[in-house]
Amino acid sequence: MLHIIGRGHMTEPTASAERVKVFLAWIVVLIPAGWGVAQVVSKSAALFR
Amino acid sequence: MFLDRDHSIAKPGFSRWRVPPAALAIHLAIGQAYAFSVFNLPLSTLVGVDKPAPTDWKLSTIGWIFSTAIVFLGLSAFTFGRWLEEAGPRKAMFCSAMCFGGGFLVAAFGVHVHQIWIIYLGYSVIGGIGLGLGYISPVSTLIKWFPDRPGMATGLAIMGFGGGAMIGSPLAVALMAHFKTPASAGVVETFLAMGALYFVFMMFGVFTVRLPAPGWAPAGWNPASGAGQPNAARRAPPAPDVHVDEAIQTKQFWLLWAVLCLNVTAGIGVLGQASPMIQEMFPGVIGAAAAAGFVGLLSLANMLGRFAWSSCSDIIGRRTTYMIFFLLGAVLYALIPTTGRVGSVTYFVAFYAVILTMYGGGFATIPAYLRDLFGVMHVGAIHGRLLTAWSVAGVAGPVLVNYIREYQIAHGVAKANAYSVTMYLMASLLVVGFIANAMVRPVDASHHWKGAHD
Repeated sequence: MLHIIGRGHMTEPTASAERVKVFLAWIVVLIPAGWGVAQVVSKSAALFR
Repeated sequence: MFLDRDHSIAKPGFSRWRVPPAALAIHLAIGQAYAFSVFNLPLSTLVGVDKPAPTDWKLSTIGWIFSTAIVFLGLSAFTFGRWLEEAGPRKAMFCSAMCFGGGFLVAAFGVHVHQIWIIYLGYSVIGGIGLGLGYISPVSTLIKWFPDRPGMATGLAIMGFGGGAMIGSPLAVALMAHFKTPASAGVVETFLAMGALYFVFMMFGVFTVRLPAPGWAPAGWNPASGAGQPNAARRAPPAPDVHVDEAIQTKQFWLLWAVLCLNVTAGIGVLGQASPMIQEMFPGVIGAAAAAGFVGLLSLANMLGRFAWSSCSDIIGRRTTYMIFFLLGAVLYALIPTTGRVGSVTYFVAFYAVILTMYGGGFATIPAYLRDLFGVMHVGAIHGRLLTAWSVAGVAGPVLVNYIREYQIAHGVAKANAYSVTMYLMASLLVVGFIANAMVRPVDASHHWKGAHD
């Protein structure tokens, strides 16, 4: 069972497509998260002025 | 049906690394709750616009919106945890999105007709149910996808809840500035926009989440030999499953309840008072802008601690991680009054930043701790019941900090020194937590589930 499902045994095109989906999924959440962190960091700078 | 548990089983070739973004989408959205205070002042001047009118709501009345939402988070996690295990994460996340987004819409109507009870109903009750469902729904799913790194996986999701305020706060400010008119602060339009935006963002999580097929395991992972574990020698052995109804009758559940409650109590009271506290402890040195920077820094520490400590717990073990939280936390709390006395802002900020990483780490590591003790079968439901500790700490922490501070000032203690007793009390609470954590042992075999698995 495991060797069938394990990622290392997928055909190459499927694996590539899956990698793109993983990348896009992370982009969707990291963009707003990064924007939020940037807002906080810019405000925190006032503490050290 | 698309939302059914059976339809969310992953097909062969699905990468498990698509599941953490799904969980993050939910947690980044519902984490907005921590930023609700940005609406406090605009809500208190809805009638007067520039300054509060006699018919405007008081800040104390508005403050109940957030408090009630957190109470309903705990209640909903407690109530729906068992249902979530049966319905699957997709349906639970969808209900969470409906409740959280819908709660904003109902609250917008409440603002429009200036009825506070409609806002309580919308944001606090309906939205609060969405908070509870959304908080616990990705946890058991991630634990199933990452049996080799449960701490890291759940830390990723719960980190989103800490980071949600960082998005929610500036987003709300930007939207209110956009919709503001001479006659309105733009709260109604902002609530409507945020309800729609968060619903869409959460739906990304609904569409992306998958459950592993029965019997699935990560490639190269062998629980029996410990292969594929971050630290095979120290890993917790896979615990046999315990039914949720049985789990809450064990000593271990209540010890972990105390561990979470004490860890949260020590951090949450300080989070709420961070801005006035640093200004009062360093009068003339720290102004309002720098204090706001301090609050932001604590949020960042809280968020990063969730991922860093829970990942670390996969290597050093859950019990050891909490030992560090309580021991190091107690020492740092006990040293904070000294930083005030010697006037060291740097040490003060650094100590608090470390404390807040452990506050966040406590939230993020607890699901993996539960999994180590009670198995995977009902870990979501057990986690939901454990979150009542958060509800208790959410009231106890701020009350302790505020009451002791006011008592000290009323008895002639200078504002700069009014927090010392509180800090020593927090250190004592963490010592009690240390003892509770030290008493945690594996669950007795008599509690293990002997029936068929869900």
